Amino acid sequence: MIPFRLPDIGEGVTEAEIVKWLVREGEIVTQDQPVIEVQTDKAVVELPSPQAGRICQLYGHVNETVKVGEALFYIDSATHQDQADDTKSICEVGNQQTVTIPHHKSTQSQSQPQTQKVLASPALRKRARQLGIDLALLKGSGPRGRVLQSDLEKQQNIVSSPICATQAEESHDHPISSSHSPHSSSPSINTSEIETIQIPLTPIRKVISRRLLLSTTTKPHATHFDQLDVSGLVRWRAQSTQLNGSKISYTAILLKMISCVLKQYPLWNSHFDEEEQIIHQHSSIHIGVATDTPQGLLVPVMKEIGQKNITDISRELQDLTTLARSGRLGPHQMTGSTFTISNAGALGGEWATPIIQSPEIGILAIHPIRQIPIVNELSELAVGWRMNVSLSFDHRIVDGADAIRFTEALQIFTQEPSKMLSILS
Amino acid sequence: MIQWVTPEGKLTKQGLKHWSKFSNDEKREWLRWMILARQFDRRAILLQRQGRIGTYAPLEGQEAAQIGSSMALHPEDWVFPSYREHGVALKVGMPISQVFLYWMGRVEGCKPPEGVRLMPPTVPIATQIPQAVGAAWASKLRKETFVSVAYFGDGATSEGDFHEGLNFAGVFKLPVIFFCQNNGYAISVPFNRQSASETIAERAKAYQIPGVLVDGNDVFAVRGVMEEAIARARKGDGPTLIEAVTYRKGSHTTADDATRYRPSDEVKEWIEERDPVERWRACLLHEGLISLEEVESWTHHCDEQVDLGIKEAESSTPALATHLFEYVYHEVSRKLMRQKTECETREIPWLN
Repeated sequence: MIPFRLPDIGEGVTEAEIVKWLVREGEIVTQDQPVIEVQTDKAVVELPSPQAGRICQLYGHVNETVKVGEALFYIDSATHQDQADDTKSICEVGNQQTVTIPHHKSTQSQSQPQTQKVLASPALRKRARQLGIDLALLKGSGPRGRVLQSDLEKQQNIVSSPICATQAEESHDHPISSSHSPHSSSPSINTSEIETIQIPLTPIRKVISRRLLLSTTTKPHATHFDQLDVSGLVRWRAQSTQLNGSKISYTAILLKMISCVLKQYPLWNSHFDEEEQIIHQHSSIHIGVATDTPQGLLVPVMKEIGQKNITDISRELQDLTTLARSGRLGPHQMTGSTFTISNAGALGGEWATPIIQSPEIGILAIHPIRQIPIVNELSELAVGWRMNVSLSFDHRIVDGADAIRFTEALQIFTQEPSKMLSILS
Repeated sequence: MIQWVTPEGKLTKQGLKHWSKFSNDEKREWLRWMILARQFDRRAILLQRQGRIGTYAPLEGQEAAQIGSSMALHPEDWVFPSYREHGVALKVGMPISQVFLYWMGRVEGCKPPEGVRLMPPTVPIATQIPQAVGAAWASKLRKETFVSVAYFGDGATSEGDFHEGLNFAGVFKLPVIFFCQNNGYAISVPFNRQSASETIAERAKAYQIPGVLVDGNDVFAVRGVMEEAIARARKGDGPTLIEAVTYRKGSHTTADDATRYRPSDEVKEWIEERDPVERWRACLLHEGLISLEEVESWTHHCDEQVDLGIKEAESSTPALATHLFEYVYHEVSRKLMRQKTECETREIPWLN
């Protein structure tokens, strides 16, 4: 059996994430047949089998990160009978739904050299420590006895449910691993009814997690809520749609209006350097637009909003959103924002307490534009267009009064867009 | 733009006029070399994905430009390629195994067999242009008859070296061909963001040299214009700038993902309607110069040759890790010496 190790598929790539297995364990493949799809920070690529033979073992689950040089699968190109028989026990799974746990003993024990130190990645060592599992007690199924994530998971299953050794592992194309122990007789906790699913964080989710934690633990957040009269905004958009025949998104118009507010109150368009205790006020306005995507929340950045007209902003915003949803945003399209908005308008909701994107000063959540009952200037009940906004800010840099001034200034434009003319320089 | 065969494989009026200039055997050769280049290229990408060669620059889509131009060269002519000219390399006599060795990071891949006048692939952009000019100047000073050819892409034309090379060659009327394969993108930068001039060929005028705009996916036309340019150069009439308009079907390199920056309908059109190999194959079939069986058996033969090349390259004695410290400095610094020693004494897992 020959291991196929993750090659450096880019230039200086050190790891890749498994996107999809294209074959099953036990499957016969031809030379150069694609076996697995992996993703690096640059591209999604298929990795082909270097030779014809039987795929014996697959290592790693979908969404798992694999380091360059780690074995992804073993391929058996043996032609003579005895060897074929030997590997049958681990390979013969055919197209049955259940995939058996490979018996590593049969193939690994003789090839595993004696090493003083257990081979395992730092990440895996950490995980083992957290789980209280001694790596030295594990039989690693990787090359040269390296302990892999799957070994750890197996051990974990054994620890948590003594009878599950006979159970089927998840099929290889299953995105999440599951362990299920219907007959557990553990006396302390009645786990028999509990079915657990373990979902490892995707790389994107990990980044989100790290950033949010940093922001909420280092920045004193405060949030100001306001309801804005947006009658002018709604009217203006209807007119422009009629004039141009194509719809401009509310977000695009709001982005322009917000950029006008930022121009008036440039402190909001700053970065705060915590270490140096310096505020860097920016002359250019780059607004991040938090976008809901299948991979999680992504924040594409609209650059130089002050320099662009609304039609261009609308078009660019659409392009960026499409890129974000299809997972094709480049790193340069997600960095460099000086202020951020979170547009929840399309989804619903009334209020939010958005979290500031470090090192920015504020973030504005925009809620749905709705018709609601209002009391007009003549003290009569009437129907009016309103939109809620929630403005979170770093209270070290700005105060509640600044936040009120911010949303009041925004309302001047949403009430009467032509007021933007007065701040043209 | 000069075009002798339409994308559908029909001869144009000009094509008909030049048809008898080349023998039927040679015309078949063009197709054979293009197929070899393509089969080589496809295998190389697979090898890269298997970790058997390093980062690789695919050429598929540019076979006509490379084979058409290199078919016009004589063995005495010097070739200065960029990093994508595997088709040219194979045609001028570089063994398949050695082209693979280059992409395995081996110095053997830079040394062609005796008599093959091919320089190593140049990775820095456009630096080979002044070098080709230098070789051409030598040819003129020594009163030799060889011509030199610089191969480069559209991106190289934005470099200072391009101007320096063309200017010098124009002034001294040197026997050099500037062969630009304009594949539309300098990695991800489209040509219209690269240059305000419509074509590259038109820039030749400023240097008082002929500029030729040719359909780079038309092997016949490329072969024809290259022949004329070389004849001019050899006669002492100076350099020519040729712009072969083509398209790389795949990514810039195996580390790139072209779908991120190229519109899919554009890619589709070039792949489905303007493929250079398909075009010439259709033309030869139409003219009755070749049969489908011949194409098939030739393709099969190429695959075998590529297989052999891989075997040969992979069975060559592995390079020592310490080679990393050679070929760059004449005198290795103390710091590098320390690293070299470490390299010799420590076990390096990825070298197994």
